Amino acid sequence: MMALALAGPLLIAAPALADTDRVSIRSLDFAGSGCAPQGSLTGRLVDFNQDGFPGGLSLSFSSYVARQGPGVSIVERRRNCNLVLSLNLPRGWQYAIRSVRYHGVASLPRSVSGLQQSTYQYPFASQAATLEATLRGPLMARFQRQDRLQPPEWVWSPCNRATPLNLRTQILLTGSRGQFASLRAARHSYGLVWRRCT
Amino acid sequence: MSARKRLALLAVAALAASEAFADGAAHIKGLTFNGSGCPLGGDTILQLLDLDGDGLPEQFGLLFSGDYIAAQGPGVSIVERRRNCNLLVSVTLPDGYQFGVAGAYHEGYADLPVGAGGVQRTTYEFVFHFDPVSRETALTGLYTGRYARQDDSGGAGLVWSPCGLDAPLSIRTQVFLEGDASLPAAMSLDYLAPTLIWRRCEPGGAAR
Repeated sequence: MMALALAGPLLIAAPALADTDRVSIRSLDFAGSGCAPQGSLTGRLVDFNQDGFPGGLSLSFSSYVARQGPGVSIVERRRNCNLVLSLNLPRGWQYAIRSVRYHGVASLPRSVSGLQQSTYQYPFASQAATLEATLRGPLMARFQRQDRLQPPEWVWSPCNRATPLNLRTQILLTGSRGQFASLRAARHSYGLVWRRCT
Repeated sequence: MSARKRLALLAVAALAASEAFADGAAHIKGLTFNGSGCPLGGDTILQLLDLDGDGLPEQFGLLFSGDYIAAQGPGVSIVERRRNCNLLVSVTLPDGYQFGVAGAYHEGYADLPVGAGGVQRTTYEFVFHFDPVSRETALTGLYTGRYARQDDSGGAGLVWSPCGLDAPLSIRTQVFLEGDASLPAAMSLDYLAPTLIWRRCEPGGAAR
C-alpha cells in the first residue's frame, strides 16, 4: 500500500486529462449543535492535483466545542454536526473518504476522554463507514489525531447518479463527569480517493 | 414540499425505473415536519432521494439540528425531558397502487448515568385508518455514546396505505428520559431516514 503514503489525491486509475474538469463544491448544508447555521463552518476542497481532483475535504469549525464541569449542562458534553455535500465531478468518476485528521484543542483531566467520530455514506440509507479517534486525559494541548480506513472499508459514491455525501460528525466527552474538561474541534481534514467507474 | 424548511437537495436518478409510472403520476405531494425536536424555522435538513428515477423518492432523510435532544438535571426544565418530531407524508400514486414504509434508519446518542434511562420511539401510521406500529430503542445508564436502529420489515412493509383511499402517512418520533429526574442525562435523535415502497393493490381486494 505504498500509494497511501503519497501526498495529494490518490487515484486508482490513470487520470484522463482531456475529459477531466476541476472538481468543485455544488452545495454544502449542515445542521447540529456544533455547527449553528451562520458562519460556523467553512468547507473547502484542497490538495488538487494537476488533473483537477481534490485530495482532501477540509472543514473548519468556529464553535464546535464539547465541555463539562460543575454548572455546565449535560447537553454540552456532546456536540454534533451533520453535513450534506454535493460535488460537481466529472462523469465517470467516483470518490470515497479514506482518512481523517482531527485538529483541535483538548483540555482533559485524567479519567476523562474525548471521542471524535465521523460517519459517511452516499445514498443516505446505505452502507456507511466510520472514522474515529479517542483522546485520553490527562491532555492539555492542541492536537492532531488521524484515522484511516482500509481499502475494503471505503464507501464509494455511486456512478451515474448525483448522490450527495452524507457526513455525520460528533465529539463527546466520556468518563468521569464531575471535573471540568473541554474538547474543541477546529478542523477536520478528510482524505479523498478517486477512481474511474467501471 | 415544506417550504419553510431548508430543502437540501433533490437527487435525480438516471437509471431505469422499476415501475414505469408516467411523468408526474407518482410523487410526494406534501411532506411536513414539526415538533419540539424540529421546530418551525429550525435548521432541520430534509433530503429526498429518487433511486430508480420513477419520480417518487424512495428515501428521505432528516438531519436534525441540535434541538432534538432530551435532557434533564439541575437547572434543566422538565419540559426538556421529552422532545418530539412528527412527520406527515402525502404521496400521489396512480390508481391501483398503495405505498408503505419499508423501514427507517435512526441514529443518535445518549449520555446516561446509572439510575437514568432514555427511549427513542417511532410510531408509523396511516392517518385515521390503521393500527399504529411502534419501534423503539430503550437504553439504561451507564451509557455514553452513539446508538443506531434500523426499523426493518424484511420487505413486507411496516404499514401500508389503504387501497383506493388517500391517507397521509404519519411518522411520529420522540425521545424521552426515564428514571431519576434529578440525574443529569441526555439523549438525542440526530438522523432519521425512512424508506418508502409501493405495490399494486390486490385485484378486488380490500384495503389491508
